This record gives sequence, structure tokens and C-alpha cells, in this order.
Amino acid sequence: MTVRAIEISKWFGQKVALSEVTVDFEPGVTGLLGPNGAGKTTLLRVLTGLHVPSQGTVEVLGRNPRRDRSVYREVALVPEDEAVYPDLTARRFVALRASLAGLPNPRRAAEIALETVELTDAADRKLGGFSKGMRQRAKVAAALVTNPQVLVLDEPLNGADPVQRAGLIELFVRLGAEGRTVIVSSHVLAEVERMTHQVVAMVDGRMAAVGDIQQLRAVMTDKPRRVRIRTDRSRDLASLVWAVPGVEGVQLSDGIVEISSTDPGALAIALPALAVRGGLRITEINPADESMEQVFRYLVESGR
Amino acid sequence: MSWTLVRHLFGRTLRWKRLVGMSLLASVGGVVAWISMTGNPVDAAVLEYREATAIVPAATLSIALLIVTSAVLRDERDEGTLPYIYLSPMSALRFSVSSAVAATTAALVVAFIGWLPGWIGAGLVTGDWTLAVPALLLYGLAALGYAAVALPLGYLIDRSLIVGLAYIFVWEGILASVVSGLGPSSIWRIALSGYAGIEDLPLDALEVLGTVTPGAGGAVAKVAGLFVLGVGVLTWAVRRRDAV
Repeated sequence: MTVRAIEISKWFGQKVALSEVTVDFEPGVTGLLGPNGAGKTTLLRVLTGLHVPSQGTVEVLGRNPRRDRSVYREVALVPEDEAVYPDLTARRFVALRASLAGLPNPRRAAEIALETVELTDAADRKLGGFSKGMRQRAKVAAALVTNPQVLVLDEPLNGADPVQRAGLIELFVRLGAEGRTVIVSSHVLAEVERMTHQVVAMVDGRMAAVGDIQQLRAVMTDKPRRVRIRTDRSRDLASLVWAVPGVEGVQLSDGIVEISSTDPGALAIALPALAVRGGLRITEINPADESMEQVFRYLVESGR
Repeated sequence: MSWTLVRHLFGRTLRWKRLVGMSLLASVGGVVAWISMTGNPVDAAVLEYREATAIVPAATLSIALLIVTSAVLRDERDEGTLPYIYLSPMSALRFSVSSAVAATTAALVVAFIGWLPGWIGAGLVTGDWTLAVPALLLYGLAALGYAAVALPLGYLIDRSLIVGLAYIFVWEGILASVVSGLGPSSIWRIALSGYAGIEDLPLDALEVLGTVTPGAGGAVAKVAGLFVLGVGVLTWAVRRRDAV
């Protein structure tokens, strides 16, 4: 493996940001999934040496980035922050990174990196006037300029429009296929799925799951889903719905029926028929637990 | 040393607005000296120049130097751009030395601009264009001394400017004036002792020194020591502390 975190913990004062995280990253694209505040950014900062782990060790290409800074010839980070140098043009920004890395021809290297992210046309415009998506691409170009073996991307698709997203996703997949280790953090599962099947899921600073995204999905589908339904006759619906396959629980409160089901698809098909049969008027249907946070919490809890 | 990093940090630190603002602040001492010399006979004007140069910049040049040099790495940290320069394959020492050279160069530019009005004033009033030249040592030593302290401060502490201002106003301005034993811990007094070593300062100016002995060599050695210490602290911080 090219990047390895062993028993990493990181705390800021009383706040524990990472708790005994052990994870390996292999060549290819790996998605780092988790809700906001899960510790993804902290983990990426520890992996790249920006943060010192409070406990544990990090190895990148067999070296500790805090002790051996030569590793930064082969490692690059695209930080989550929107921060760029607003007064620099994209070309100068990327060339600065190339020059700091000691590349023999920073201008040419910048040219190639800007071409890779399709930013050549805007290369001489100041970053301060860039859209969010263009800034992201400039940051990716600055990371790629050193031709790194390990590329760490913290929410790189934030702010990019659908076309830019597709382009960046294609680029990351290609970089992974070339044998580079590409670590991409995101809180959007569907986005990661378009890049890779290999994922690492985090929640509350801990590892929730590591492995193939299909396996993760299988764990997720085992989870009963909750649906809230507003109707004029909630008691009637509550008694009728028990006949639907997969329904595990029903709760009533203030005209709202909350149904817990392991087969939400069957419930969706059955509901119109139930409404007709019972003469019910359904005015609202809402998922009660569809946030990523809840899904990941479930993964953690089911892993205990 | 990485000249790329020096150029980048220097250019970013001395953005136009900051350069103009801090140069104006740094120039107050020279302007006051010019005004106080005007209308005086030459001998009195010389004394006025030396007295104003020794006293006024302590509260203006020092603040300008603090603001400029503490911003060198703080700007990168505050604006979230530090990873772009930090994640470079250069040793912690090289990173620190490059940052220190950028900070010192920026400080020297501001100090030099701050010195100019006094030089012009002294030349016009007395006709002696060499009168203000020794003050370059005072301004230069102050630039180096404040850069050595404020650079790591800006990297390490979120509210480095407040801490720095407290040092200048409370520590240097009040405590070191009242408790004579604290004089040697004042960067301004160290720089002033160098100036006093090559120029006859009036009594009022010498009183500022307190227990600090005048001497150019000693002052240069002390500032050089501070510079080495500042680079050492920054190198330690780059190796041991979180970068963002």
C-alpha cells in the first residue's frame, strides 16, 4: 500500500477529531465517505502531514511526511477550502507550485497541468475572478503539476457544475487507472460511486466501513427505512399498512403515520392501493431518515 | 534557501495597500524629526533630529514592522493558502530561512522608506546629507529584530498582532521603562543601543535605553542572536506543530 494510517488519533483540546483510525490506501481511486464533521478533512490533513497526529503513525510511500519532506515530490493535496491567491493568474499559481517543488521547467509543467484540467483558455486570468468550479480546477492543476504518485483531494467537486464534475471525475478515474493512489473525500455517495467501488466510510472521527461500495450498499439496504405520511385518517392507514411486506413498525402522532419498513419499494407500490381501498386522502409523504449522517451512523452502530 | 518562496512571500506581504499604509506609519518618526528641526539653528537641529529619531519611531516604526512581519506566514494561514507552500519538498529549515529572508526584506523596505523623510528633512534643514545616515543602523536593526520575533509569532498564534501590540505598548513602552532590568528584552532598546554606539545622543534619548549599554557591535550581535532564535523557533514549529 502507498498510504497507511496506523491507529491515528487526533484531538484539538477536548475535541476528538479522529479516534484510532487504521486504514490503508492502495493505488487506484478510493472514496473517503462521511457526513460533514466525520473527520475526513482531519484525516487527509494528517495523511499529508499538515496535522501532527496526537497518536499513531502515518506512512506515505514508506515515509513519514512530518519527518521526510522529500515525500512532497510525490504527494499533492487539493485542500477543501476555497482559498487560492486571488491576485495570481491561474498560470502563475500553478507555476508557483511547480517552482516550489523544484521542477526544472515550471512554466512548461504549469502549461501541461492547465491543459489537463482544461483551463488553458483562462490561464492568464486572475484566480480572484474565477467561479468556484474554475478555482477547483485550478487547485487540481496545482496538485497535478508535480505529477504526483499520491493525490489527495478534499471535496474536489464542490462548486463544480455538472459538466465540470463529469470532466473532473473522468480525470480522477484516469489518474487512478494510471496506477496513482487517488484519495477523494466526499459526503455525496453517488458522486464517489461514479469514480470508484473502493470506499472508506467515516463517522464521528472513526472508521465506519472499508471495502467495496456494493458491500456497503448491501449493509445499507438491510436497514429499515422510515417514511412519514400525512393523511386525514391516520388510524385507518396505520392498521392497513401492517399487511404490506417489510413493514416492521408504525407510529402515530398528530395525524402523521411514521412507518418503518425494510422494503420501501413495496411500501411505495402498496400505498396508492391502500388509499383507494380505505378511502384515505394522503397529502404528504416524506422520508424520515435519508440523510447521509443517519446512514453512516447506522453503519457504525451495525458494526459494533 | 528557496528564492521562489522568498519572492512569493515578499510580494504577498507587501501588497500595495499594506506597503503604502505601513510606510506612512513608519515615516512618522522622520516627519516629526523634520518638523522639530525646522526653524532651529544647525546645532539644535542636529540634537532635535537625534532625539526625535531615538524616541518617536519606538511607537510607530515598531508597529509598522510588527504588522508587516507577523503577516508573512499569518496571511497564508488565515487565508487557507498555507498548504500550497507548506507541501513542498523543502526542509523545515529551508522553509524557515526563506520565510525569514522574506520577512526581513519586507521589514527593511518599510524601515528604509520610513527613514527617508528624516534624511530628506535633515539634509534640507542642516545641509548635511550624512547626518541621518547613522540612523539607518537603528532602522535596520529594528527591522531585523522585529522580523525575528514577529515572523514565528504570526505562524504560531492566531492573535499574533494583539500579542505583538501588547509587547510594544505594555512590555517595551511601560514595563521596560519602569523596571530597568527589563530593558535588554526590548527590541527597540537593543536597536537604539546600536545607534547610540555610533552617535552622541541627547540625554533624553539615552534615558530611553535604561540599563542597556550603547554599542553597535553588541546590538548587531544581539539582533543576530534574535534572528537565529526566531528561525530556530519557526523551524521547530514547522516540524512539530500543525500547519493549518
